[in-house]
Amino acid sequence: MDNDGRDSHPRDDYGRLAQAFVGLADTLVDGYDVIELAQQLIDNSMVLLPIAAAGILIGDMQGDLHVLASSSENTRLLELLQVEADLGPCLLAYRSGEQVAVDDLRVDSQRWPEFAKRAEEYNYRSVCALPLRLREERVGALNLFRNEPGSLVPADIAVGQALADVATVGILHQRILTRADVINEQLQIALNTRVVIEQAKGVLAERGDVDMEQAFTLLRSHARRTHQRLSDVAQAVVEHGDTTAIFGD
Amino acid sequence: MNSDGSIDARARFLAAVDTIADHQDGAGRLCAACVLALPVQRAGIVLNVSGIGLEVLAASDQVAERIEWTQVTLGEGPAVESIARGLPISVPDLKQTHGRWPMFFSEVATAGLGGMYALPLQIGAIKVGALDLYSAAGAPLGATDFADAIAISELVTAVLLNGDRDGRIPGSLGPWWNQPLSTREVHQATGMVMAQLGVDARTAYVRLQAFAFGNSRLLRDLASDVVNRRKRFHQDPEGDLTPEQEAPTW
Repeated sequence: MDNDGRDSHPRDDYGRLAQAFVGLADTLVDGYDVIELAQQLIDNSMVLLPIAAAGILIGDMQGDLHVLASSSENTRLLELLQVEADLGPCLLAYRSGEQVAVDDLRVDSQRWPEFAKRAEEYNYRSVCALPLRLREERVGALNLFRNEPGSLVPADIAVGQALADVATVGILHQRILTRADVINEQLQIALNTRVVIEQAKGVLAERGDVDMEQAFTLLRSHARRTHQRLSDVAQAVVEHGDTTAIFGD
Repeated sequence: MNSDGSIDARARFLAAVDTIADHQDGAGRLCAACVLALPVQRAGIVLNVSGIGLEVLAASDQVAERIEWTQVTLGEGPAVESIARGLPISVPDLKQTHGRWPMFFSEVATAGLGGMYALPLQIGAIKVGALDLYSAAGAPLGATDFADAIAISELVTAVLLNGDRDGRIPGSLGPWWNQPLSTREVHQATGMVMAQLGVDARTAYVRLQAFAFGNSRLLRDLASDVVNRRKRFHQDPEGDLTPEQEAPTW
């Protein structure tokens, strides 16, 4: 099996893949947390696929894309994702519901020049954007960056799309979708949850004199350790300003 | 549906506020502007006052005012649910509420109304209240108009928070208001200012916004300065009135 030179044995990959889906399925039961789900999707993508960075974006009611989770809190990655969300492969994947790949951003820079230029600055040579969609509803996109030119092999694309599909169901969190406004409700909740998490990160960054990446890690670890939803922990931090438990961990 | 559309909606709303400036006071102006800028007949705003509950802030007319009061008195209705759950509640036809809000429904059923859209006025954990928009019978909001309504509700939220300082809505909303008010760094900066000042999220956001507004800076640029530790906030608000001299940024 061609896997781009990774050392793993195919059986290890299947094992990891199975674990990834079980992990995602876990988030769909009690204590469901959409941000944690999205972050797990990113973590799984980073482990299972030969990529350098990943981001998942979902669309709001105006059809604008927002980053829900990413492989790093690094401002440059977030800015790059945002440039791409304004005009780039992931916006196209979202709108069209199709997979969009650019094998060499250095060569194919005409279509999205601003994005290609930024990506080049940050050493990303190729990108693959996979749609998050459910039937006819477009939810967002999973964006995968590589440092090398070339495309992901079909098996890897299939894995990425499968992870994206599970995440789509999780984000929408409805067994039977009958109305567009139900889908939009879930998106609005997810987007507002993200805002609360950003506010909580600010509190922690200031109190603990850490950067936003570390602040997010602190939030996440505390949520896991105390078996709480990430969004609830963030809400508590912002509502009560109480961070002693988080730093005490 | 794209960000150009929402920029248009914001600009329309700001222009509408200017049109009404002489005729109404305070938040009533915001309601009247919604009616001008969107295909809706009426608008009302309820506030979420911490420690007290919901209060009616303003409405475009007596019909809307009565419905807002009904919700507040009963503690039930689309606006109440919208604030509690933190998401928009759409009711394309108030005659068909499918058993939701039974007391509210019995009060409004005969009012000859069309649809109602309760949009939460919130920024993450900052819950200001709800904006209720009433559409004419047989003319529910389409997707684009609904998206515009959301964009306008975000602007209304920011304006109401700006009014915190002296309780008044500014006489006209100048071009400063037509900017992205809700970036990731704005939210992070809100949290940082909370910790710097030992205040709640709402107070922190109001301070940020007031400083940006007072110094004619874009909110997102100020937020970036805060997040990158080029600007700190201090306990004394008087110190904010003059531009801070922190470490040079160039």
